[in-house]
Amino acid sequence: MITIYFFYGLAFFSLGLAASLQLRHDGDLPLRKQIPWLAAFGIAYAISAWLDMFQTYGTDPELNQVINLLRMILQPISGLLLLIFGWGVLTKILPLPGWTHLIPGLLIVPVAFVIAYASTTFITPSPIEIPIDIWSRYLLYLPGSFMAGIGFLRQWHEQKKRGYSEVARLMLATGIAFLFEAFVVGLVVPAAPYGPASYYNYNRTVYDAFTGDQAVSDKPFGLVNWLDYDRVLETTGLPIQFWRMLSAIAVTALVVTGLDVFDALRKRQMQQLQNERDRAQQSAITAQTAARQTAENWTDALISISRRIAELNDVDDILLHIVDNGRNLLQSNFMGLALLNGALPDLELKCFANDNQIGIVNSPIKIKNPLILDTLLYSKSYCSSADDPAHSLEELCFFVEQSARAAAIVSLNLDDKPIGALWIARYEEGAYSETDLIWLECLADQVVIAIQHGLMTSQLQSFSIIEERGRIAREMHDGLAQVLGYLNLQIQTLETLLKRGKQDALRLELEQMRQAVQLAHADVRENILSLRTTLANEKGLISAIDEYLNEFGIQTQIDTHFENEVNGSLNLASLAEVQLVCILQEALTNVRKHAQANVVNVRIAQKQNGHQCEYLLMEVIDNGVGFVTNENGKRSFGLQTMHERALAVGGELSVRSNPGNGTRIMCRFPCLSEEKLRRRNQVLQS
Amino acid sequence: MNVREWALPVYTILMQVAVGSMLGLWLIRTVAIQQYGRFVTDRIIRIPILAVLLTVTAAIIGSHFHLSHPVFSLLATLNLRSSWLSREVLFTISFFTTIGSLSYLHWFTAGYPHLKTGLGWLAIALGLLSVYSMSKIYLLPTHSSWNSPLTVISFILTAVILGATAVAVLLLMDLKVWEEVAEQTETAVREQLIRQSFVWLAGGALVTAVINLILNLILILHLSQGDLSAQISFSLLLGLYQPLFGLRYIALFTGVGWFSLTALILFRNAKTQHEIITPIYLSCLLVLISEILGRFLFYATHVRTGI
Repeated sequence: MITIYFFYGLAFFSLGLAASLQLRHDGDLPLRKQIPWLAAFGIAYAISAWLDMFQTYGTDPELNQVINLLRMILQPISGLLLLIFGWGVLTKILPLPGWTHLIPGLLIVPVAFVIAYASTTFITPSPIEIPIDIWSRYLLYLPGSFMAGIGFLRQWHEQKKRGYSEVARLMLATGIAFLFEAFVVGLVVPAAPYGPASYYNYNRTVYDAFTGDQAVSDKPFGLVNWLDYDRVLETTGLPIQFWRMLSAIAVTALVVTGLDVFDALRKRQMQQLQNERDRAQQSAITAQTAARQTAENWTDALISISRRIAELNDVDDILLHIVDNGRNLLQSNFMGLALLNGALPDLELKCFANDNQIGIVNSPIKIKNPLILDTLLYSKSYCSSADDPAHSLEELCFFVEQSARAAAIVSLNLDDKPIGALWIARYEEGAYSETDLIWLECLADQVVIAIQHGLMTSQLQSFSIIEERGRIAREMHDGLAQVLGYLNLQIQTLETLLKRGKQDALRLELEQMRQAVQLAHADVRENILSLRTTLANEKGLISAIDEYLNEFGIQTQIDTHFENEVNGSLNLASLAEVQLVCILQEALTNVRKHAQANVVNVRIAQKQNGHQCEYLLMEVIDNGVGFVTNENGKRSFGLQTMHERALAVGGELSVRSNPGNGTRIMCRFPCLSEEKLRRRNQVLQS
Repeated sequence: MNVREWALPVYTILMQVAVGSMLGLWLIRTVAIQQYGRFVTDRIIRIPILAVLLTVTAAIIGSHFHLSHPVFSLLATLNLRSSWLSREVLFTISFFTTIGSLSYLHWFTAGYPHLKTGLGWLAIALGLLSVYSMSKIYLLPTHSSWNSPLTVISFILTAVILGATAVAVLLLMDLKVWEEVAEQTETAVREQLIRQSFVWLAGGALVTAVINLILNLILILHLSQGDLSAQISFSLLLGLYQPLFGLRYIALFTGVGWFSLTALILFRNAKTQHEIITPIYLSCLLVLISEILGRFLFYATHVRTGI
């Protein structure tokens, strides 16, 4: 028996020790928070069991009294610790359903009766350690173990629902182990002359509980009579301490394993969460990359459209470019653009893009789709949804057989007035997003800008023609008309001289007329040359200047030389190139008209600053009569114009001349920076 | 005492709990209707009324363990003219029926406000008559420790003190059960009702406990100066059962005192209704233990003289 008591205590001590060791591990499991109570219970109960062992062994009576006292104190304390552990396992690990709030209230009455009854047994003649033992078990160990058992069974149910069958089985085993402990530790008590044990053991009750008289009854009142130590020994052949030891070993092994499994489970869940977070991050990065790529595509497309508008491309080409790009970027099967031909509902398809072709529609196709007409009527945007009837999306796609299953439509507004509609459509289901609609509105703005720009360009071209006509008229009035007027007068003079027979005077007048006609002819030819000289991109500025100088030399019989010291590009802005040519033409006109030169040199060079071009220098040098430059800053009209042209592009112009020593005109134009040059080249290349 | 004898405390105590709860509940209802309206008030007392019905049912079932032939228990009502036991059984059954009807009306109908009020007061009257009859059974000339008007008064007082603490528990149970599903305004009414009523319930319980103690001291004095059987009862009470007698009053005043302190703290908003659940439950438990021990002592200390 001593050996059994030793191992009995050792089993519970192992339970306490194992639970204590589990506390050293990290973790924040709810079950772990209850483990200190289990550890304390195990150790307290083990000490109590070992005290039993010493009592059984037989010691000094005084020491025996001390041991007995300690045991009476330890037993309810250990029971209380188990009760706290059981309550924690039952309520703190998983939240209890709402109806369970009723249980404490309903239990007040039976618990009060049991406690009241238990308190009456302490005044019976039996030794006080017996009621302490019995009621510690009934009121503390039994509910503590029972609640822990139920708590673990709830865990079993929960883990089974989550699909963790391995953990669920472990929880089931732990729950059963605690219920077994509830039975062997909480329900099997020493035989005593009072209940509930006494009810089961009336046949062994030897005296009345309160008076100490002989037993008043031997009837068990229909209840079983075996739940005491003797009956367990008699029935199983093993003392109750053995069964309790067995329950302690089972509880120890299962709780410790359970904690490990919970830890592993938690780690696995953490790993899963980490993996999910990584996947989410990866998805976010992918989405961001895709969004950035989309934004870049859109930016490129909008820049491309803007460049075409700025380069005064044909409006139809621009519109085709827009619908083609828009269809690709918005991942649609069709994109259409329709313009009002007069007033609503006279809407005609202008251009389109589908999976196979893009094109401008020349023969009028009326748009009849009510969604497009409504969008135009109310000047709003529209995005189809899954609830839209299929027939409302008919006649949205042209030159294809499929019908649209999703569409987005925006109206084109010029000065707050609708001028047409732009729409996209898909053959498959999948509504367009708000973002898609915003992008479509951007494209609609570009369409409107392109149309507006086209209109403005036409107007500007008209203005330019009118201006050019005016200029030519002025030139003719100032040049050819004057000469012709002069010739008319001279012809009258010639008639008079002829009538008077003044042959010498007549000859002189004729010579003057011939010179005047030659001058007029030179002016006209120069004007024609100027009108013909253009800065064609395919030729380049240097070639244009070279050709112009050759032609000028032929026409004027002035020996022209062109020295080009620039290798490669001139690195000038387009406007600066235009001004450069205009200054050169003006300078050569002055040479022809006023300088009386027979040689003119034109030199173009670049001033380098390291690898970077600082400015472009152009010199026009003649060997003519020269003139006196005005020190007060007053210049002739031609020189003033040249000066202003140079200033307009950030350059400068200077004139050096002395009578009899020819004239030297120098102008300096700033070169483009590398960054601006690179961007210009990109635009030109694209 | 054995199982058969313990059936008596079970029955009497549970009946007193039920009658006292009904009295406390109906007083609260009467006041609350003026403040919060009939509809909300009647919804709040639905669970407490059901709990009273369950208590009476448990009491009646428990009483049958005292009988040799439980199946013939209704025969006990045949001697109404002469037997307080018959009257007790009749009033108990009437009380049970009335509470049952009241529970039905509260759980399954929304109207009949006057009928509910009337049935409630009728149930209280029948319950008090049941407790009165119960106490009158013990006024026997052969039992000097029982044969005193103090027995009747103490039975009524026990019903009052148990009712006061039980109603507190029932109102908290109702709050806890409904708080997750009830509308916020109704929960606020429940909390307000608990804060206001607990002060009166605790005050009533405290006064009743003091009166109870005084009556017991008078009884002890009476026993100490009585005949032989009274002397034996006196010696049993302050001899063998002295620890239980002491424990009974320690539990009573600890419970009532804790209840009063908690009610005061709640009234001053120092704690919420949810924070006082455990103290109130434990107060009720202590008071109930005290009264069960009191009933145990009542039965255990009696000594019969003569035939």
